[in-house]
Amino acid sequence: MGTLETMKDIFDNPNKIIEEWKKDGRKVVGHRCMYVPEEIIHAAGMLPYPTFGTPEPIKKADSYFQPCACEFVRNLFDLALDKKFGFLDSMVLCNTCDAVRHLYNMWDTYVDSVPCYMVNNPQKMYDESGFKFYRMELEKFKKLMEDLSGNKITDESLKKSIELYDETRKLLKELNDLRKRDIPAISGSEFLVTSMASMLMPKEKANPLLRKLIDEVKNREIKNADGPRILLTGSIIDNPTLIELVEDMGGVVAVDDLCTSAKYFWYTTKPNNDPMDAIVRFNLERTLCACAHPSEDRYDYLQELIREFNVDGIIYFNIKYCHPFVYESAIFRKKLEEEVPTLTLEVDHSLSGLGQLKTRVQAFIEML
Amino acid sequence: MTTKVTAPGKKSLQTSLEIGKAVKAYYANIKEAKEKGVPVIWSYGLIPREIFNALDAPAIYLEHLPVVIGTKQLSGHYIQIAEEEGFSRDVCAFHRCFLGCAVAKEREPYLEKFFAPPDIIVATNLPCMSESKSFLYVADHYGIPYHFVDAPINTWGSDIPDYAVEYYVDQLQGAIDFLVEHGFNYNRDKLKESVCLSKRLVELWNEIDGYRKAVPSPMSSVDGFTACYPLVSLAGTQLGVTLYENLLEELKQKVANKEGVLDNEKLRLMWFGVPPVYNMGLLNYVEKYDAVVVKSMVEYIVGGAYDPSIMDPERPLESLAYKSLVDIINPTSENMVDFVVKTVKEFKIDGLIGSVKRSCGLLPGYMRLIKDAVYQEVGIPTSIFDLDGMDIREYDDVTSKANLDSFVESLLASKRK
Amino acid sequence: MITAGVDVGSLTGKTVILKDNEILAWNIIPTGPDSSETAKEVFDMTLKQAGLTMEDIEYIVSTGYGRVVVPFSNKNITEITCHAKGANWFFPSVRLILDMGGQDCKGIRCDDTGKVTNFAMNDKCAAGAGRSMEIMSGLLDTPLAEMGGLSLDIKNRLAPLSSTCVVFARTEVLGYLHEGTHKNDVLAGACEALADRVYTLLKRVGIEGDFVISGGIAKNIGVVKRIEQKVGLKANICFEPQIVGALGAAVFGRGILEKKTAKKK
Repeated sequence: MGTLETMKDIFDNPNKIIEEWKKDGRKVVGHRCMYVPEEIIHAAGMLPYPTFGTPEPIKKADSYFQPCACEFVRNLFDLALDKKFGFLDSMVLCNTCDAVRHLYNMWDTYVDSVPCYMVNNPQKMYDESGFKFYRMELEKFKKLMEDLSGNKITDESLKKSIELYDETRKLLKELNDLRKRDIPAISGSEFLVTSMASMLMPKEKANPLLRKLIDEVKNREIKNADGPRILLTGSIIDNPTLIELVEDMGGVVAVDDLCTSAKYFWYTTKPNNDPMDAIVRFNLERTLCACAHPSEDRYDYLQELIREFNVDGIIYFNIKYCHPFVYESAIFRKKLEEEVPTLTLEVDHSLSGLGQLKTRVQAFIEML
Repeated sequence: MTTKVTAPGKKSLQTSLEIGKAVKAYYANIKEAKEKGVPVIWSYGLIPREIFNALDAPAIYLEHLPVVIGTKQLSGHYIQIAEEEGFSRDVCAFHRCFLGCAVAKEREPYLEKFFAPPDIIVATNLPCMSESKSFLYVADHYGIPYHFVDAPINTWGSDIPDYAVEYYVDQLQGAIDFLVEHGFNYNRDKLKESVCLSKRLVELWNEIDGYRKAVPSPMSSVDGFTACYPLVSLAGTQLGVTLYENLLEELKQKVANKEGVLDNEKLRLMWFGVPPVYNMGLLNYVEKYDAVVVKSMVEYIVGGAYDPSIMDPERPLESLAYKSLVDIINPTSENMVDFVVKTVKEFKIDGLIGSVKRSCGLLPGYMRLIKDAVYQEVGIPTSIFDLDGMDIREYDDVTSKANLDSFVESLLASKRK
Repeated sequence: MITAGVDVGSLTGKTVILKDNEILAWNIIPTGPDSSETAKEVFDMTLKQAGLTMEDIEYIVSTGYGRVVVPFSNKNITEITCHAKGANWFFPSVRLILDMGGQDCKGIRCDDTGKVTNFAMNDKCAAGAGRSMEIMSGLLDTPLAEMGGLSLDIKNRLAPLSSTCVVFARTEVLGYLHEGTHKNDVLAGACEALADRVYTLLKRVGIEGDFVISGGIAKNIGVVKRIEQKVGLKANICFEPQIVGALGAAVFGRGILEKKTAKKK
């Protein structure tokens, strides 16, 4: 089986990863949102598990959350209530948006089987006093992970973990760069599956697979590459079906600025003798989340993507009730449209109303 | 657009009239300052007002401006303008309302008395995400400088670590430095004085609350909605303190004479959620059942729900930082739940009304936790229903009243048993 | 050159046969439970009317909600793109189009060739679409064709409808009728509410230039007049506003064929 198929298999069956990991009595720590440093979890000898949603309609969560809460968060909570996250030894959230805060409240109150913890982080980037604050929080988090795992986290082990995770980021970036070409070597949907699979599995396994994949596809050319080149951005998109939809409508998804994609690997950790400081700066010397400030930084980063990937059109996929991205798409729209046509779409996380979505995407692509 | 049955709230206190006048005077002063060339600040979110007092900076607080627009039945028009600019119905109606007003090409003569375009923006992320983002649009539209103050959210409960306070102090100092750079003069003594007056203001507000707990209650939340205005805009001023001293006197007398809002008070209700600003008469509606809305959560989330003894004028920034971290506007879920349970008990509430504004990302998230807690600990029910407190276009009078009717009837029935 | 456009919407299916840039024949039928069947039916009906067979049609473009289930079409193009083209065919100076079908509503900006430059569609809800008028028609026991005219003949004053959701509007409407409000005044409120939502949509794409309204709603003078008033522009409406999409599709077919012929030469 080619490596792309291997990635798909891992993406479709994350339970295999968990079974394999837990076989030796090791622990799994779930996390959501980018300010939870995976390296700290890894250095404690535990598996950092990125919690993604599923495209199912919300069942139980709506009797806890009001229907006007972020669909992704409600979906995650649904899965938690259904004990689908029962394999987690702990769940860690952080300070991004109101919805994630409420997820923490709900999980902490109603999901006894998996203890939930919140890492507090600044929302203002590049601020030295913010670095201090975040550092204190991370020291606490480090202690928590040590207690949970029974393993001490040394500077050495942390440095090694950082190196390992940076390697994953570099490899994903290298793979992603193959999409800069006029005819990309890998399609958007293939890339998202690969990216998410790499996030799910232990990096010791992901890195060699990624190297192999880069080798396999570096001379490849995807079919149907004559459509307009699209940049996808928006709320957390954890379903390759959406990418496929854009591709089916004739777009070439050249790059995706998503939590499940570019946001994960665009930057790497800068060299630093103090690994905790390195992690602090890695997270706070960039503005990738729409919740964070300064937003000009995010705008510049989008501009970089537009240039490097030769983008013809931008599509914002905003999950229903996602506030940060509705604000961002409304605030950036006029400026972005001076460079490149921009379409803002409201998306149901459970992907209902696909027909209407297809029409809008197709019309946009016809327009370009 | 309305079904013609919206009505302003029927207030019953003399002080409410005084506060109404103070509101008008506040905005008139800002307009005057603008005409004299003093830069006007638009402040988003709960930046401590005392800082602007120390800088003699005229500031419009964007929690309040939509209330002015809403009570005049104009919110629908401005919300529509914001929607045309691309802000979907998913985001806070309060924010859509003043965003529309900010970018509108013209405004009604009535609103022009309150509206002064911004020269500088100082924003923060308390209490919610919308505060943290919507100002960017206004800053862009007017081409003006802005400063963002990052307030740490409270994830620790009542045991706030020093490093969190330090971080926030640093952020507040950053706001002061920014405003000094833009031409304002900072007077640390004024800050101390302001902190002192704020402390007194909240002490008075807590005393006032004490009298409101009396049976029958001398003050309904209709007056409460007006009465919380000093906490919004007059914190740290002598005027605020005077208004609350007057309010306290008025209530003392009423309680001494056993004078309640209702002659025959049968039910005491609390409103959790944003009441319909354009139809505060809905809170009077339940009075026909001898039910009074004694307190509403909105009166607490304007920034006065903390223990005033923590305010130390000699350490003004530390006090302001600390109080923002322990105030109920920055809650952990335990804090929020405990607070509501405590309020329900102390005010002897019979039923909790939870109106859900669909565009709100903050308050509805607590509804279920609160509903469960008040039922388990106090044995009282909560009625949760949709009601947009700001978007008048979404208001359905028939359904809203039906919800209140059935809730009140069930409460009365259980009382009779 | 003979081309055809087939527009399968949620409420109606349409076909236009275009011969040398003239409309040869057209038809509108209600959409049945099977969109594919509807497409075939209306297409065959129009062929017969034109005295042609399938073989005479050189290129078929399908559009509309059911565009992907028209097996005999050569290509499918969205109704947004087709409406812009169709409106431009009728009114070459058009720059702003409002199209309202049964289930959705679109605001479209185009250039002088009828190419889309910007568009917005309503949120997934019937309140901003033709369906809401159907519901009102039922509630107020008034034929659709008469609603517009009656709504302009206000007896006392317009009865504002506040419900965003047309399902909940039912309670309000019944409330009004119960109070004795005249049917025309309630109709006025319904048309006003719809016009308001449409206006917001149009503002999102920018109101400028010559204005065209297409789709069934163009036949409702009460809504049309109110939209014109809010937008500040006169609405250009062709002789049969419901066929604009199908016509645009046929025009696209013509364009594709012309390019192919040019390539061969």
